[in-house]
Formats: sequence, C-alpha cells, structure tokens
Amino acid sequence: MKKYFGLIGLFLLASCSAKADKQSAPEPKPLARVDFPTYEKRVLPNGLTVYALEYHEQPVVSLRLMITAGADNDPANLPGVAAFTADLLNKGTKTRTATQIAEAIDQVGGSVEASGDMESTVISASVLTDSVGLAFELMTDVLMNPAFSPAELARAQQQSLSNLTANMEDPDFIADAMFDRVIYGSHPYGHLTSGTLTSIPKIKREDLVQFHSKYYAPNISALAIVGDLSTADAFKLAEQWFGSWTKKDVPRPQNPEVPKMEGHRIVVIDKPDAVQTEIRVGHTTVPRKDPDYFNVLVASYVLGGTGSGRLSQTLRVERGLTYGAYASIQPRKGPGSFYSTTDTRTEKTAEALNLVLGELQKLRDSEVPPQELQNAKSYLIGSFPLSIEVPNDLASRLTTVFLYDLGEDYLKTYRDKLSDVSAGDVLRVAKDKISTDNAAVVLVGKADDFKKQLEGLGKVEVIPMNKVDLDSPNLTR
Amino acid sequence: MRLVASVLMLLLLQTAPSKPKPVEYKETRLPNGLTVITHEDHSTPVINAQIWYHVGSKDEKPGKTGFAHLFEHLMFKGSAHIKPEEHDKIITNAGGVSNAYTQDDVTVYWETFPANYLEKILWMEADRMATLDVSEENFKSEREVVKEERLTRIENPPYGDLLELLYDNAYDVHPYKHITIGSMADLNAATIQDVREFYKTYYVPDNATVVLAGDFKADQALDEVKKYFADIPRGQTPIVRSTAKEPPHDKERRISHPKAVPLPAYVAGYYIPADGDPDSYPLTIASNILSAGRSSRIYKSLVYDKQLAIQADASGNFTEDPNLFFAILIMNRGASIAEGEKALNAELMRLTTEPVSDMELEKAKNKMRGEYAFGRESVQEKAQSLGHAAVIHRDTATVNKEYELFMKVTKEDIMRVAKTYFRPENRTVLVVTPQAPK
Repeated sequence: MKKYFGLIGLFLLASCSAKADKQSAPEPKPLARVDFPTYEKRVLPNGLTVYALEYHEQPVVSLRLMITAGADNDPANLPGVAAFTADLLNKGTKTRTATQIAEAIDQVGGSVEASGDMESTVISASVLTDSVGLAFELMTDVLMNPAFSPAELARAQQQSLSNLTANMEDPDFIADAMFDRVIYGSHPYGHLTSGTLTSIPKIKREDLVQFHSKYYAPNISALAIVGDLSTADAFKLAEQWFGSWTKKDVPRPQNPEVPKMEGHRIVVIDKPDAVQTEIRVGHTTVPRKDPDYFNVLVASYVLGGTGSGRLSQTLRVERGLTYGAYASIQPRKGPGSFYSTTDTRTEKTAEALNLVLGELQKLRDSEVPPQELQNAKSYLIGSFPLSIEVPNDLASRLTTVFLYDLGEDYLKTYRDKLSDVSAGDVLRVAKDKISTDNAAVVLVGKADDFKKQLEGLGKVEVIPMNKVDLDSPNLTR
Repeated sequence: MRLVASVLMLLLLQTAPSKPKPVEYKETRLPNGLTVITHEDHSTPVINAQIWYHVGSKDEKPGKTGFAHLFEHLMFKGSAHIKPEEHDKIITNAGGVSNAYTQDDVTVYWETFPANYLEKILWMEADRMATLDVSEENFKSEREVVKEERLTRIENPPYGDLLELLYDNAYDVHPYKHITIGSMADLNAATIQDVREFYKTYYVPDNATVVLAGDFKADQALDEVKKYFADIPRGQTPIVRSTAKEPPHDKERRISHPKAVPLPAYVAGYYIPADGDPDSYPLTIASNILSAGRSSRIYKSLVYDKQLAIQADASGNFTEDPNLFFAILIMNRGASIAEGEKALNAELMRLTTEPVSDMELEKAKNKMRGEYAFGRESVQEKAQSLGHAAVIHRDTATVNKEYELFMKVTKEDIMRVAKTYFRPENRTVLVVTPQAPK
C-alpha cells in the first residue's frame, strides 16, 4: 500500500508545483436566485385551471391534465375503480377504438396515457410540436367520451390480475403494500390503487361510468401545457378543446378515520426462499398542507433523504448491511406517511431493524447539530433548479401545487419556509409526530431465521407469503 | 371563437414536421490524452458532468467478475483531499445529485448540480482520478454493500436472475458471458491489491472522457478542466483489451429454468452486431415496429388480441462488442409458453417474409424522431448522448449523424436484417416455468 501511494505522492508533488492550487476546494460563487420560469394561469368559464409555460429546448409539447380525484374516492370495499376508470380512457371512445387511438398517437411518435393515483387522476400527452392539435383532440376525446367497453374492461382486469399476481410475490412490492395497509387500516390510503385480487374481478362497467360522471369535472381539474408553443396558442387550444367540458358539483370523499397506532405492530411476511429481508418502519404523519410539514420533511431528510443521511451512513457506510437505507414522506391531502425503508441479508434482519429504530430514537432525543441541519436544508433548497429543468417536471410541479392547494405564491416562498426550519422545530416534531414506540414494522423474508431475534419488540404476527390477503381485517386468508 | 380556432388549426396543419434539435458541442483532447466535450445549454442554471472511463465488466479477467463495478463503489471512498463519503455530501449539500454506473463496456460517474459548483466538481473528479486512497477497512465494508446489491437486484426478486442465466448460456468465450454484478465467489476473492492494479491501469486521463452539459461558457469550462486535469499523467500500464470473438452458433440453445416465479417467462436472445454497425439501424427500427407503443406488432398480437402475455418486448442491446437482441415475454395467467413462443416467432418471421407497410415504417421513424426530441431535453440526457457517441462509437459526431441513418432505413433493410438475425439457430432461449417454493 505504501509503495503504491508513494508513487501517487510523487504525482501530487508534481501537481503542487503547477500553478493550480489543488489542495483546497475551490469555493463556488453565489448563484443568483433561481425562479420558477414565467407561466400564465387562467381559469376557463367551466372552472378548469389552465397553466401555460413556454419551453423551446426541443420541438415538443407536454400536456398534463390532473383531476383531483383518485383512489381516495373508490367505493368502500371496491379498491381499483379509479384506476380502472383511468386505464380504460384510452381503450376506446364513442368514435374511436382502442387500436385506433394507439395507431393515431403512435403514428406521430407521441403518447397519450392515463392513470389513477391515490388522490388524483392524470391524463398526459407528449407530442412533437407538429402534432399538438392531435394531442388536444385525442386527450379531450378520451377524457369526455370514453366507451368503457365491457370487452376492454375484461381485458384490463385480466392484465391487472396477472400483474398483481406477479407483484404479490415480489418482496419489495408486498412490503410497501402491507405497510400502507397496516398504518391506514380500512382508509383508502391503505388500499392498493390498482385494486386487489379480490376486488378487481368485482369491478363492473357501471362502476366506471359512475366514477367518470361523478368525479371527472373541469372545476376540480388543472391542465398544464408546457412546451414549444406560444402561451397565446396554448390558451386558444385549451379553450377550443376543453371549453365544452361541463362543470358539475363533485362530492368529496367521506372516508373513515385513519387509525391511531398504539404500540408496535410487527407483521412478518414469511417467504422461505428469500435471501434478504425487506424492512419498513413508520406511521402516519401530518397532511401536506399542515404548517409542520416542512419540519417533518427536514427531519426525514436528516434521517435518510439521501445517501448522506443517517440511515445510509449507519447501515450502509459503517456496517455494509445494505445497498440502501432511506426515509421518506408520502404526502397526502389527509395524513401522509413517514417511513424508513431498507433491505438486508436474512441473518442481519434484527440488527438492521434495531439500527433503524435507534436512528429514529436519536432524532427524538437530541437536536440535530447545526451543520447537519444546514446540509439537509441546503439540499432541499438547492435542488430546486434541478427540479424545473424539463417540460414534464415543470408541468408536474404546477399540478402538484394545484392538487394540494398550496397557494399561488408557493413556488416562490417554499424555499424561505424551508430556510426557517430550526433545530428546535425538528426536535419538536420528532417528539410529537415521529414515534419509535407507536409504529408499524413490516418485514418480508425468511421468518424462521430471524423471528426469535424480534423478541422484546412486541407481538409478532407471521403471515405466510401465499396467505397474504390485503382485503381481510387480519391481513390473511 | 370558431374563426380563431380554425385559423389556428390551419396554422398548425401547415407546420413542417418538427425536427429534433442537434446537440451542439466542442471537443478537445488534452496533451495527457483526456478527451473533453462541452455542450452549452443556458435554459436552466444547472450542469451535468460525466466522467466516462473506458472500462467495464468485459475487461475483467477470469476469477475477477464484478470487479469493475466493485471498483466504481470504491471511487466514493476518498482521495487525497476528499474524505470517504465526502464526495456525495458536497454535492448533496449543494442541492445536486450524483451517482455512477458500470456496464459491460464503460464506467460512468455523473453529477447534476447548480451551475456555480462547476469548478468544485471538476476539482473533486480530478482528485479521485489522480489520488484515490481506499483503506482496507473501507474496501471490505463496501464489498459487503456490493454483495447486498447483488442480493437486492439478482437473487431476491422473482425474475432477478434471468439475464445472468441467459448470458452465461449464450456466450462461450466473450466476456459478456458474465453480467456486470459478477459472482459472489469472485467478489469475495477480490483484494485491495486488485484495486490498486485496476486503478493504475484504467483510471488514467488517456482512458477517460469528461462531458459537461449545461449553463457555462465553453471556453471558461475548458480552462477549468485544464486547471485540474491537465497535469494528471498518462497511464503507464498498457491497457490490453479482450479480443475474444464469440464464434457463430449453428444451433439453438435452450435452457429450462424451473423457479418459484408467479408467471411463466420466456427470453430469447438473438446474436446481433455491435452498436454503430450498419445493421444496428434497421434492427432498431424493426424493434420499434415490433414493440414500441400499443399499436406495435408484438404488443397488438400477444398482449392485446391474443392476451397471451402481460409484457412483450423486442429490442436490441447494442454495445461495443456484438450483443443480443431480446424478445421477452411474461405470460398472462393461464397462457402457456408454447402459445406465446409461437405467436412471438410468427411476428419475427413475418418481418422476414413480407415488407413492412409505408405507414408502419413512417410510424417507426416518427417514434425515433420523438425519442430524439424527448430523450434530449435535460442536461443529463444530452451529456449521456455525447459520452456514448465519444466512447462507444469513438466518433462524437455520431451524436447527431445517427439520426439520418435511422431516417434512411428502408423496408428492404428491415427484411434483410430480420432474415439475417431472427433465425432459430441464432438464438439462446431461456424458459422459466413456475415451481412451488423450496
């Protein structure tokens, strides 16, 4: 070792004699404040909010229509309706078959996709500028005139069941699904947006027709048009194609309360052939609009927002236990979730879990040191320019502000709000809103090899992988 | 309103076909052999920097599989002026992101960051090119991380090991036989001495390409690159590239793999020429016709009409040396591999017996036009395209020139390459059938 690096030392000496000073890092000059690019916002007479933003890097246009209703409006006991409603949109309209829609958009090298998420439904289209008219035409046709043909529904159900069958044996997927189910109970936030093996076959055409007529409304929707198109043309096209979409009263979801977690709930999903254990730890947290959201967000970044976070340092860097260990918030209009995630070889399961719990506890025990706090905040603030680079990102930022009703000045002020977060704020929310005692723990792996090591953490429920039933109150068949 | 709309429609109808914008660049070779490529993009104050080292898993010697990738992890373990893990911290604290990846042919380190950090990033990259300093302890600990990565990617997911098995059977002599992550046994056998040898051989300026895309002035950026990289000496150990050529196979190879998977899967790999070969262009257009979009042939037949598969893809893995064109099926519940294979092969054979229609050819080319435009929006995508052209094609101009080659592909080209490559004896097939867990 010495010899080799001696040689390197010589190179270093050589470089020292050169003009450049390589010993100390060149410090960056301050960057002028970066603002979100100029955009225009208008509300059409039918209540549709339209954002238009010009972007001319490539001859492309992105349209993103967000309807602020998703799986959170699924009928009780029938998860999947919002997702199937969205999925069937581009599978046929009154005047076009699924194949005709696919042919039309593929022919111009573009895409028109729709998907139902937990709290929203998004229809997006991306085209080269020469086909922007077609993008509006297809998007509004699938939005306003879907056929919901029974044959297409049957096909989609079969596809979805096969996909889900495959996913239900993927440890990573099942860990996430079970974690949400455990912390949210019967609230839709705990459901699979795709629907479950039990619910998917029960979904009928009428369910989709109803969902569409009840929730697809311009007055709860926003359209972002970003790309190689003048703002004036963007608004003209929006009015021309979306102007006839009819306004209606939309019922808001009446969902059950999110359950309160008391004590550890440890669910082990037994997969005897697993070589690793998937680990999830966490609980529900504040809604997206809560004043404490930024405090919890900073706490999650300190804990494990990046590879420089505490979880990664402790589990990956110091002990080589995992390829990745992170903490995140899943924001929701209602209570979001705050969770840590990692995976490790089977024999290290308990060690990894205890380290995650230990890091959570540390966050509650003492203030984050100033430099570490500053680092987490600098990342969140500094990454802003990276998040507004391409049309899809820009469109997505605009519709997110709309979804959570964050206010017109949000994109201007959120960096200041982050700057204001203090170590005291983080400690307070860590004590109040982050818990190690009242938390869900989900482990997916070879239970026999680590079950005993979990003693003392609380009652352990073990469910064989092939008996998992997300619809059942006791999670098993 | 009506009038306005129709005038506008007319306007739009008259628009000429949109052409993706070329990526303009400057290229310089420093006296120590370092290639520097810059692309100015002032749309957002961010920069993407990439350092391409021309070394990948195909350069690994027998018994050392997985080493190029293991080494990539070690590049984050400290150099003369940067402590272990500090590299990422500096970038993260600036609001940037950084990572690296290893493939068969190359190892690429990249970061995207606010534009004012360029000089500091260059200083950091030069420091680890010149003075990497990995302790035995950090080496061993990071090796555990890489072993976990192998578990996470290959061994634990239901379909994680498919490509490893396929490549192991498809190749006899060429190093593409082993996948980049390598074997556990070889990872365990790696030593710190290997690390030093590898570093000394491959991590030298004459085996590296620096690509910068973003909000800077090219001349100034080049000066800064020179300031930190120019006096790093050339490599002293000659790089000996593998010259192994996979001999043509005259018989189909077929492996059956019973495994605890939920749905049957089928993977066929057809031997194809290298990236940049004249045949690679019609093969890529053919893959668009076969499986790009819901109106593509394989999707339409297997997923939509016959409902045999939930996933059906056909696309070439184009690399520096000849690789494979994949046809992959994940079967629908209740559908058999035999039915799937028959329908899939019917589509491949159809390309060899009848010319594609004018509409289909145009559609496939429009897909490519779209991919060029949508795939070159961000600074990272642009730098990626430049790095690939410079290192894999050894001709940076291909970053823009290839577009015309795709546009020139004819029906006859497609039929010719289909006949040449989509032959049963030219493929290795892996059939995965569900089995109860052990």
